Amino acid sequence: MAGKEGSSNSTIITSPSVLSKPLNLMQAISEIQQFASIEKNMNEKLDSNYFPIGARVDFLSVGIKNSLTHLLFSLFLTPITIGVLDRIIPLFGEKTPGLFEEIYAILLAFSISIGFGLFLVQLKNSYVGVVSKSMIKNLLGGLLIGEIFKVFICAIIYNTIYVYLTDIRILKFVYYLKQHTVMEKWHIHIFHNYYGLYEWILKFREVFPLSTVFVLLSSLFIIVPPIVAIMINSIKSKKTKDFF
Amino acid sequence: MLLFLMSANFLDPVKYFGGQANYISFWHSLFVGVFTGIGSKILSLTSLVIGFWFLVKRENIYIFLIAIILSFGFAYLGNFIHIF
Repeated sequence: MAGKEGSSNSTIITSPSVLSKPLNLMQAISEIQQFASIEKNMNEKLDSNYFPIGARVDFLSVGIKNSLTHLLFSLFLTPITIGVLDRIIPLFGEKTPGLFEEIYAILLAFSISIGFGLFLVQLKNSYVGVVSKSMIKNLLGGLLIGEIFKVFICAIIYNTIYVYLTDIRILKFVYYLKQHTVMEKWHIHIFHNYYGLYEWILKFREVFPLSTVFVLLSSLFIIVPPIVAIMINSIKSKKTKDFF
Repeated sequence: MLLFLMSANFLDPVKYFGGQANYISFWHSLFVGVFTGIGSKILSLTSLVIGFWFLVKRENIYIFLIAIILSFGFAYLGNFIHIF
């Protein structure tokens, strides 16, 4: 709201807060950077209530949402990666992947997590004032909660699939496909026959227990780099303050 | 692209015929060149490097995500050659 005070033409902002609700990670980081740049140039510290509870929940929910979006990538790509390592799924169209293919499959599986981790490392420069610190803590807290959820959801889904895919169920499924001549209709030649498909599903089933460990590792790649970077930056800045 | 044309011996008409004189379409050759073997390795790795470059140097997460998806595509789409 803006209005005139007496005869002067000055504009008075009566809005309780300049904080806007961040909808995604980019907006949240942008807001943190803006506040950090303001707080760096201020002589007096802002009150912690300047970042009210509603805004804290917004930042927390952005972190959780971001992690849960990442869940979709992890859920589908992790078993494929383990499949490459177990030589069940080819990479680059090669049925027998070598060392390069195995390393590259792991790199691809972790690339999104490493990327997000590196992207969040830039928050270390914004960890300066009371409000900025609170914003970062809430965002990273949300990410941590989301990643814990992600690992739990993946573990439940993978273990359910592992338990559900019994020999008899796979056999029934393959028999159903045979009855409907799916491999002939779709010209699927890779398994040679229906027994080959049955064996492949049996082998692929073994991928799921290890996938949970991979999802846990990928979550660590998102959370650990920004926290470590902020800690190192804080220690460095404290030493500099003591020095001067 | 030039590398693909050189490696696939693009201009040789005999190239488009298999051992039993079966015609191999241009699109099939292109698919094999791009999504399998050395072609897919180069394209996938390049896409991954470009993605990380955009992320670290330009701080653009959207281009990074697109590059990663492309990298996945170049790495795994070649498997359809074996399936069908």
